Amino acid sequence: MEDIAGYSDDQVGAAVRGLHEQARESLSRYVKLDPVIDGVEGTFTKPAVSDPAAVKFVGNVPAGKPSGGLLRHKGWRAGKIDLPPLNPKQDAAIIAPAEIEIE
Amino acid sequence: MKYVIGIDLGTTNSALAYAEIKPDADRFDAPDVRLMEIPQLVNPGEVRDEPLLPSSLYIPGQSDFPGGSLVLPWNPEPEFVTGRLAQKRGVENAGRLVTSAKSWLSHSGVDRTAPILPWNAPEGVRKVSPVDASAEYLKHLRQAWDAKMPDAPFTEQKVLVTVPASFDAVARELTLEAAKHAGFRDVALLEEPQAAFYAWIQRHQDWRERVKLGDLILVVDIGGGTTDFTLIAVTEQAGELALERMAVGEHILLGGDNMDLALARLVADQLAQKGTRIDAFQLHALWQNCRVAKEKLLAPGAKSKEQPVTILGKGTGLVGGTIKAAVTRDDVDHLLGEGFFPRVASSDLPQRQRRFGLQEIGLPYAADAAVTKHLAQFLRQQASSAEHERVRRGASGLAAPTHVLFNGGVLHARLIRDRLFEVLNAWLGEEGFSPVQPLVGEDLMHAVSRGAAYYGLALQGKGVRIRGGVPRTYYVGIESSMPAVPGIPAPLKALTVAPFGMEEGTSVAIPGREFGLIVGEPAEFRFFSSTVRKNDPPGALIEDLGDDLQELSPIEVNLTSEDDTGTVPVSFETVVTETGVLQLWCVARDGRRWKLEFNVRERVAQ
Repeated sequence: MEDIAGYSDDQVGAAVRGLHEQARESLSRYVKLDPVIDGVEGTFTKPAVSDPAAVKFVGNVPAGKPSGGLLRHKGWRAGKIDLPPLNPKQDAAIIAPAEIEIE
Repeated sequence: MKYVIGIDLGTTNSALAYAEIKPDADRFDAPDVRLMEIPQLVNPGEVRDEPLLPSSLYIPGQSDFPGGSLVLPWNPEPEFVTGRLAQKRGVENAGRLVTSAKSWLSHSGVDRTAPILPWNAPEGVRKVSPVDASAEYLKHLRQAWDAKMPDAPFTEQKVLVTVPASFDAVARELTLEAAKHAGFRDVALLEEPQAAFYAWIQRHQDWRERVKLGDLILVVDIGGGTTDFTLIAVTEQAGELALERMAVGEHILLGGDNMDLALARLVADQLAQKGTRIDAFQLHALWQNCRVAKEKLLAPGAKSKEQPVTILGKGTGLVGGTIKAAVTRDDVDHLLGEGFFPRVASSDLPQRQRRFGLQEIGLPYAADAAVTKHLAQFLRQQASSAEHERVRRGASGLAAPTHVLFNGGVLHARLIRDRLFEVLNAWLGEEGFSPVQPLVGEDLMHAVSRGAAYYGLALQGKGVRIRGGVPRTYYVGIESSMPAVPGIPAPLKALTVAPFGMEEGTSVAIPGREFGLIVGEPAEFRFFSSTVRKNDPPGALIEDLGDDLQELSPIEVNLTSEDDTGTVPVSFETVVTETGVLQLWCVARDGRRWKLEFNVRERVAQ
C-alpha cells in the first residue's frame, strides 16, 4: 500500500476526509456498531460482564477481579452484521478489481 | 383492486407510493399513503432497498460484471441493469449508460421508438429506444412491487404514472405505451405539479380553510432535469370549493443537475487556473461532491462560508493523487443567484435559441438558464376567456398568484426559495398586489408519487380532484389552396381540433371541414400545439402560424375499406380518453371511423 510519509499533512488530511466519509458510510451500512458498555466515559462504572475479550482492566489492577473503575473506552460491538450474500461464481479473494482505461 | 399505486417516473430518479383503498373510509380522514422502498442492485451481487430508483439504464457487455452478479430476487439473468448500479457503472463507462430517457421521450426531433440510446454508444453496443428505457424502469418497479407485495399482484391494482404538465400529446401517449410494454394494465396519467399539489392536500385535510375562492396557486416544480410550472385556481362548484388547473408552462429542460454541473465546472476552472487539470471521470466525481458541498452550504442554519471538495487519486496512489478544492458560499450564491435565479423584471423574457441550419441533434436544453425569466414568460401567457374571471391578473396582464407551492429537490435550498419569493413579490408589488403565501409541503423528493397515490383514491371518490383537461390547444395543419409559387411552399393554416381545457372522457366533432382521403393510401397531417393560445374553439382556422404554435410529430391515417375505392370524404373528431390521452379520428359521413396515429418516426422539416 501507498507510503504516505512523504506527503504534507494538508494532502493527507484532504484525502482522509474523502476516505473517512466512504469508510463510515460502508461500515454503517453493513455493521451496526453498539458500545460494549453504554456509559459515559470518565465516570465510575461496574461492568456487568467479566469476559476479558469484552472488558479490559488497565492501571493499578488488583490481584483479584476488580469490581469497577473509571470507564475510559466504551468499546465497540457489532450489534448487527448485514453483509450481502456472496455470489458463488465470484472469486472472493479479489478485494478490488484492477482498472484499465481505454482512451 | 386493493391499492392505488402512484409512480413518479422522473428524469433522474423514480419513486413509488401506494395507498390502500378502504371502501368505508371517512372522507375527512387523511388517507394513509406510504412509500415503497425499491430493491435494486447497488453493487455487483448486492441487492438493497433504496427510497428512489435512479432512472439510469446500463447495457452490460461481456466484460462488465462477473457472472451471476446481476441476479435480482425476481430475475436470475436480467438483460439490463437499472437503478443505482447502472448509475455507478455508467460513470466508469458512459458509452453503455442510458440517462434522461424521459427528456428524450419528449424530444420531437428524433424517432422516439427507434433504438437510439445510449446516444453516444460505440459501434456494436446494443441500443434501446426512449420508450424501451422508460419501460425498463416501470418494469423494475412492477417486479419490485410483486416481490414485496405477493398478496396484491401489481396488474390487479390501479396505477397512476406522472408526466410533466408540459408533456405534449405525443409524449403522453409514448409514456402510456412504455407502461403497456412494462406489463401495466390499469394505468392512467397525471401531471406532476398537480400530483405535488395533491400531496399537499393529502397532508392538509383542512385545505379548505387554508385557501379561499378566487385564490390562485402557482406550483413551481424544479426536478433534476426539468422545470415545470402550473397555475391552479380555487373555484366553486355546487357550493363547495373546487380546484381547477388553469395553465401549464412549456417544456423547459433545465434542472438541478444543470446547476450542480455548472458549479463543478466553476471549481474545475479554478483548479485549472492553479495548474491542475481534471479529466471526465474526475469531473464526474467533482460534480457529485459539489452537489453535497452545495447542500451543506445551503442547509438551514449553515454557518460555514466554504466547503472542501476532494477528488481522490486514481489507482493505488490514493493519497498522493488527491486533488482538493473548495466551494465557497459566494460562488454558490453568485452562480445560483445570478445564473439561474437572477432578479429580473416581469417583462424580461427568456432568450430564444437561434435555430441554425446545422444544429447538432441531441437533447434541446433550454437556451436561457434563467428560471426566473421562464417564470415571467409563463405568468404572461395569454388569458383565455374561460379562465377570465378566475385568474387574478395585474394591470399589465401578468397572472398574479396568491400562493406558491414548491416541489423538487432543488427547492430544498432556502436561498433559491427566498430568491423566487423575492422576485415574485417584486412583480406582484408592481401590479399592486400583496406578497404570495407559501404552501408548505414536506418531502420534496417524494411528493409527486405520494400525490399520485392520493389522486388514485380521489378517482375512487375518496378525495378532491383538480379539474383540468387538456393543457394545450391542438391544431392540424392545412395547406391553403392558393396558386403555387415556385420555390415557396403553400402557406399553412392551422385548424383547431382540441380546445384548451377539453376534459377527460369527452369528445368533440370538428365542424365545417371535410377532407377527401384516398382509400389505401396513407394520409399525413402536420400537427401543432400551443400552451398560450387558449381561446380557439374547435374548428377555428388560424391563418398566421406565429411563434405561439409548436410543431409536434405528424399524424397519419390509412383508410382501409373493402367497399370503397377512390376518395372518401371525412371530418375530424377529437376524443380525450379517461386516461388522459388525446385521440384524433376521421369520421366518414356514414359514421365509419379511422384513428389517426402519431408518426414519431419522422418529423416534417421546419
